[in-house]
Amino acid sequence: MSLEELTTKLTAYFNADDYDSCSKILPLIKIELIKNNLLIPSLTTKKNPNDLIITRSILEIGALVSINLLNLKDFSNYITQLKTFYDLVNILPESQNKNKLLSLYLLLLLTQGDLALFHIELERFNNFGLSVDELERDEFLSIPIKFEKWIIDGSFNKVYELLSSKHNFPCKEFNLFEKDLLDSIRLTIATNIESGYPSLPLENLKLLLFLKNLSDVNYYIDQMNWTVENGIIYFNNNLNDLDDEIKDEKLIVKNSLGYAKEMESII
Amino acid sequence: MSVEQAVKNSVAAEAVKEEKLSVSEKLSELFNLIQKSAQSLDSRYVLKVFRELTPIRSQLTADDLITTIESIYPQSHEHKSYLIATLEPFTQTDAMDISDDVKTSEELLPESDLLAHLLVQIYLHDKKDLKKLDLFNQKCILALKLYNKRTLDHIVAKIWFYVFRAKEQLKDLITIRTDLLAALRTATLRHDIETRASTITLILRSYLLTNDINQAYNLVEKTEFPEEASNSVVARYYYYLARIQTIQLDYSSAHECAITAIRKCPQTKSAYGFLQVSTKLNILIQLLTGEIPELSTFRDPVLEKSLLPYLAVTRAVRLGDLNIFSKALEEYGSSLKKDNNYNLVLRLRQNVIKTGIRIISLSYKKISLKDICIKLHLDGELSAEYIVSKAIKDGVVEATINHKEGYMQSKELLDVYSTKAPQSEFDRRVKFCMSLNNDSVKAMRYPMSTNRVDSKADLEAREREQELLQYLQDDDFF
Repeated sequence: MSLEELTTKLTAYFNADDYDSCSKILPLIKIELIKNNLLIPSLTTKKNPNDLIITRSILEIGALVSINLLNLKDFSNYITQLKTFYDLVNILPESQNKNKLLSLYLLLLLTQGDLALFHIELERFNNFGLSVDELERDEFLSIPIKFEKWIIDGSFNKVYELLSSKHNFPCKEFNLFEKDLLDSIRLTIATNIESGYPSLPLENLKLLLFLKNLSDVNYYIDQMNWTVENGIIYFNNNLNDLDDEIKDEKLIVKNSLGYAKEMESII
Repeated sequence: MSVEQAVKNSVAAEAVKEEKLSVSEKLSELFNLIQKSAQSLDSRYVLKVFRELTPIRSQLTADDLITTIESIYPQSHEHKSYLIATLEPFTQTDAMDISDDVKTSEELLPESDLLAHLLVQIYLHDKKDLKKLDLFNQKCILALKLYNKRTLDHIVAKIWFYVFRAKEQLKDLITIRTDLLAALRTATLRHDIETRASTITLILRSYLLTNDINQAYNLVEKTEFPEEASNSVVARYYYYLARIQTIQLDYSSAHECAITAIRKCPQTKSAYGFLQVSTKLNILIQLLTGEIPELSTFRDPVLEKSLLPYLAVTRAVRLGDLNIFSKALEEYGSSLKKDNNYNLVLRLRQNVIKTGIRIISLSYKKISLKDICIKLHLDGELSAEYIVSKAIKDGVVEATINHKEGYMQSKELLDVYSTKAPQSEFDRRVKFCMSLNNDSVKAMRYPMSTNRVDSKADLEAREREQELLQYLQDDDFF
């Protein structure tokens, strides 16, 4: 099959939301693209901008397909490939899907807890002349940025509220992250609670973790190794307060001897 | 042809030009120094050349340069023609007396050749003729590949600096990377410390200017930076490192790097710009870690004016007031954007809340979550609870939350002197002083005394050393 036929097939499947068939065609298309030296644009290969735009939209479809199939690794790969296309601001017109895909990628980084990479990606927007507060005005990008702020702040209830009011997102793919993101913030909350409270009733923990039933609560209690007595959870974290006291006489002696040796070599 | 003869020739040339401008005299003085460094295989003389170059840099003219080049290059040397062709458009006097064959020397040292290239680069750069500089740089890169001598290192590093500088000014940051990376590889293989340090910083700069933080980080991970390079390059490297780490939210390492950069920064007037930039970054890092920088930082007469926006931001963070913070952002946003620090300042919004909680926990032993809510303008008790527990986890405050009664209780302050902390701090400082002392002893030079009795033995030892050095150099032992 030629590249054109494959592409028309792909768009047909994609428009029909048949993601499985898409994912079968995509590797074939990629091979064709590599044959035509289109998959990786570089400064030295001067290609027809139209060809590049088509390649870009194929990759965008690929990214959307893989995210819909919850194939996160493939999704990251597609984004990495797409970034080189997005950097060609002088040659190609801006893609309409750019902000959508990049904000999905940012959300993915959030669920993986990779805040360093999250901020590195935000810095890259400086290349398009956009600072973070300008990004916040974009309907797609504002979402991951808001989430990140809340997570750093500790306003987890706001994250939960926005995630549970499903229909507010500008595109359906955002909902795919709901479960993963919630799980990841629940874990953060649990570790926060552990260090912040001496004890906590079970009911309140359920509320704080946005959980609906007690079996889910028990899952977290097991995972964090907490002890429960009479419906109250105790966090055993106050043990290491006095451990820092000076007990290590040997270290003092060793240090002093070291100083003496150095002093002698100076004199 | 021996080196001595070359010296003689250049001395003769100098004598002829006696009545000429003092600048060209000084220039040939520089070339004499370079020859000395080539003879003695000691790169200290090269550093001296750079020191003496600074005062005459502003007085350089194309005529002087051409006269000097004429006297240094052999008549038919291939570099000579393009060096002069590059300079010709800038000459003032048309009737140049260049047919005088007596002036020209017949052998060219690699050191002199590259220094001539560097001088032309500096001249073009100061004339702000970047297109020409860029064109000329391609010739420089070719010339650099001809030589491999350790006495060249300092000059080569400088030449690369101007190569990149031209590209940066022309906003063409990506095409030069291949050349720089190749230069880095060659320099590493040759143990050429100066060029290695200089190319690493230049590549980092190129990545940071295009916001490719990840690439920059990978480079830092994969290369080993030579700490023994010149201080100014080391300072620059640490500054870039601090920037990368700040963006990655690794504030404590970033703080250390920024401090090192400020301390290693040269104390001359021309380094004020660097000092300003790195102080700005350091202030932001301090604020991001929850510290408030000392007021005296902002009062430094050299920095005071440029730090104004940062003073406003610091005030807002110190008071823990979001309204003042937004106002400061509005007023100084554009200048913060110009410093490329705007995104970092935006991160501080979160710290405003953190500082607020910290102040509250210091002033109250016990306070209800509701009151925290009101004081920090939060929108609900539940929010306050999450935020406080996060703050406890992050170590911003030492406290516990009582959920049933809905209050936060501060823990008793721990006496630092009952812990190991002062001891380890003391140990760290003593060790630092010791290593400083050792390094200073190692760095001292012991020149051979001229009026000692056994000067003959000295001389012999010196000759032997020279031979050894020569041997090492020729065989390229490295």
